[in-house]
Amino acid sequence: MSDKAITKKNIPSQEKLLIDYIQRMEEHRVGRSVVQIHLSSLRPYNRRESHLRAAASYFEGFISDLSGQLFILRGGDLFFFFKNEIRASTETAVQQIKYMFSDDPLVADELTMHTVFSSWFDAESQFSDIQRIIQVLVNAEERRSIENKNRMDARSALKEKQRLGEPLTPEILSRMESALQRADLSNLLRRQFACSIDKNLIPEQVFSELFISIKDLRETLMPNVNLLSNRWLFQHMTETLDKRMLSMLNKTDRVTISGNISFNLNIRTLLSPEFESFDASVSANRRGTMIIELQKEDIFTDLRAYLFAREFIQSLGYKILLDGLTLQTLQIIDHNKIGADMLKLMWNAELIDGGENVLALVRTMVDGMGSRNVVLCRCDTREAIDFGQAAGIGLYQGRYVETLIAEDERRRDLMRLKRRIERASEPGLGDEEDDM
Amino acid sequence: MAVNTNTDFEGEETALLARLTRVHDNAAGSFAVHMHLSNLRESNKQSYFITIAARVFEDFLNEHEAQLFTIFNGDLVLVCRNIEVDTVDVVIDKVRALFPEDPLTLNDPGSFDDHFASWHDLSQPDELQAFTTTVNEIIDSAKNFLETSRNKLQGKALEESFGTPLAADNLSAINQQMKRTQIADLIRNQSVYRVIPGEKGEIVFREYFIAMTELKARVAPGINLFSSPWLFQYLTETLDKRMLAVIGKRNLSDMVDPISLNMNIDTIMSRDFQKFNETASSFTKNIVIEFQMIDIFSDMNTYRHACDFLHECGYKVLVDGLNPMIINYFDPSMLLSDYLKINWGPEFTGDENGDAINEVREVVKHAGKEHVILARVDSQDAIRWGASIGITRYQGYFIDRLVLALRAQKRRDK
Repeated sequence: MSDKAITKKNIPSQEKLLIDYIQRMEEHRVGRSVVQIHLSSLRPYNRRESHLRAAASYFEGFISDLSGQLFILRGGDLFFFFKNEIRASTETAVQQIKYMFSDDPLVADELTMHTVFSSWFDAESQFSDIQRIIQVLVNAEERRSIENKNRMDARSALKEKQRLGEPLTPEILSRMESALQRADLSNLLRRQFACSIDKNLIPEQVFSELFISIKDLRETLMPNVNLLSNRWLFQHMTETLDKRMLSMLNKTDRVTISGNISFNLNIRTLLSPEFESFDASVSANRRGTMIIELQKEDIFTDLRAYLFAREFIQSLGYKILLDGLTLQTLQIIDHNKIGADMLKLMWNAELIDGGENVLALVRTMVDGMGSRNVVLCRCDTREAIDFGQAAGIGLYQGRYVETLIAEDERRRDLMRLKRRIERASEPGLGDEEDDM
Repeated sequence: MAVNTNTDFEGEETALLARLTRVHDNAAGSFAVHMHLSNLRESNKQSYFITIAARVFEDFLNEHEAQLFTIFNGDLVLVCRNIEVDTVDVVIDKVRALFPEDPLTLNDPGSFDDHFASWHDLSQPDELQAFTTTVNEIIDSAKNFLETSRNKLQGKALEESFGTPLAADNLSAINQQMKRTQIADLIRNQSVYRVIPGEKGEIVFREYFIAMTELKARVAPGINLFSSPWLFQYLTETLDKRMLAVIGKRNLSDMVDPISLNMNIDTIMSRDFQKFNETASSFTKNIVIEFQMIDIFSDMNTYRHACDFLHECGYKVLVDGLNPMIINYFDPSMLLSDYLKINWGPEFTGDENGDAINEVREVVKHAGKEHVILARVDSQDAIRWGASIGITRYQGYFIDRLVLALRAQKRRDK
């Protein structure tokens, strides 16, 4: 594993060279083709520097006799541009490389997972496709390096502090916790709907997540303090929030909670007397409509406590949702063994940048879990829904979904109004409420 | 359980005995199921686990002619009358399912090898007699247990191991203490060895760490620092910075063996680490940075970034906090660190042929055996376990002693 570090030092980033090459190629693309070899989709331990070198060596002969040009991108993908005369031998080389990785799931599970090892393009007729694919990869790389630079940069840290407020300290945490015990949080309780969305982008509400808005909490109790600045202190504070949430859910006279709901809890809360008394007040058939969202870091902090809590909570009738998965954690965690009823994947443009192989990975996960048990959250663009639908995801949550709900409601209002007007103009008919 | 100091012992155990006496008069249809929760692994025997396990029976007890007894050691005994065995199975299986990773629940329910639950047909006089004897023995050990825990209480042993929980209101003071107190004398080291059969071990690196028990005595006597995992983690961020300052001042060119330091990922992004990095810049290839798994999981992007940054500077990265069970739930070789540290525990003895160990074997294969360390090695069993899956790097008291003995022998042989 240690040669990962060397990978970056010894192989210069070829993204820029590739962009230049593509620009120059535009003029003389007749009779040429390109193959993209998706080595970035191999398991990380199969794409060490030694593997990449070995794969690249299959093209050495072509490069030295000037019938082809090779680029190795940072993620590991190879782009080989070649003259059509050597297509057959290029195909053989790609086949040999594929054989090298026959143990990797990318190749081994190709038929069941519908993964792609190599993509072939004709430079003449598919030039714009090639440009687009390369641009996406280069943009993703640039985003990553800018993000990395910003993290270490004192100026951006200062800017962040001015925007988000002073960091949370133990003193502030202590004050915050006592304020939380007293404050009426019911007006900070928010709900966000998780919806199924059909082809015409019409949403249908399936359940709603209840949460205490951290932004509003901060503004009400501790303006100028960034509650998220230290993740450990924040995590501790969520245990207090859990208990307030449970007591709010108990007092249904103050907060009306209808339909299927979900809320976040810590595992330690599930095993506490507060949860016990909450559960005692919940009727047996209501439990089946409640989804408890758990964070992956909480699960792995004490796996035994999680396994225990999972069985206990599921046997009472609640559902468990594994929250906060990203592409990376999806690849690392064995979600089948975690055994949650539902799973939440956070939308991020990297899901699209990963191309067909990432789509295949998500689709396999969705097939295993069942479409309606997977939620794509933080959807803030149309692109997110498109990706989710391509992967077979059944439920969506986020700002964009809220917009769709609002649009749908406006549309329904308009329909209702229209009918009323129509009826009013028909003599002899009243204007009783339509049941839409 | 009420502690009655003067009169004879009273508790659920004696209530169970009384119940068995009543069964004697009208035995038809009676049976008992004894769930041996006391034989669970230590980590599964938390008192709230047992309380919750008992709660699983609530509905069952309301609907059937049955009674549940909670024994002092965590065992549960269910006494039933005229209930179908299949009906009882359902609720017993619910309790069994609470402990999925425990060897106690591995064998087939109801089979001869089922160590989780044993069934007693109380309508048979022999069995009733035998079970009554068992319960009498339980009462004897309950008396002994009470006696010893009372003595322990007087010796304040309990107070020391628990103490006031770490909380938001005492955190600040303790944190200030940790910032001020002298720590250089509390820094210890323990080596990771590459073990070559028949030869003396070779040091891979020395892990430098702060002796927590001594530090706790110095800055937070009477406080249970581990009562909140998150607040403890917060304190370690302060310790990171103290450690960097102390190690940064030492003459790193005198360093004979490579070293490792435990750090939070956020510390790597801090000015303190940048300062350390300036003094350490020509020695980075001999410095390993250890991260905890929970730290990595709570922000994978920052981990990736820290890992890239450290690698670019020449450091090595180690993922700590793994154990053979956790590896069944995620593949740490995907994290692309230079080392993985798997913490051994006696509960993993005897797992040599299970499915679980195959997952560990896969991880060792993916990561490469030169990158995997078995830590907390405190017995021959641990080394045997590690060797069976191809591990060659070890850390722990047992290996320390072994290496010392080997060296002494070499010296004698000269």
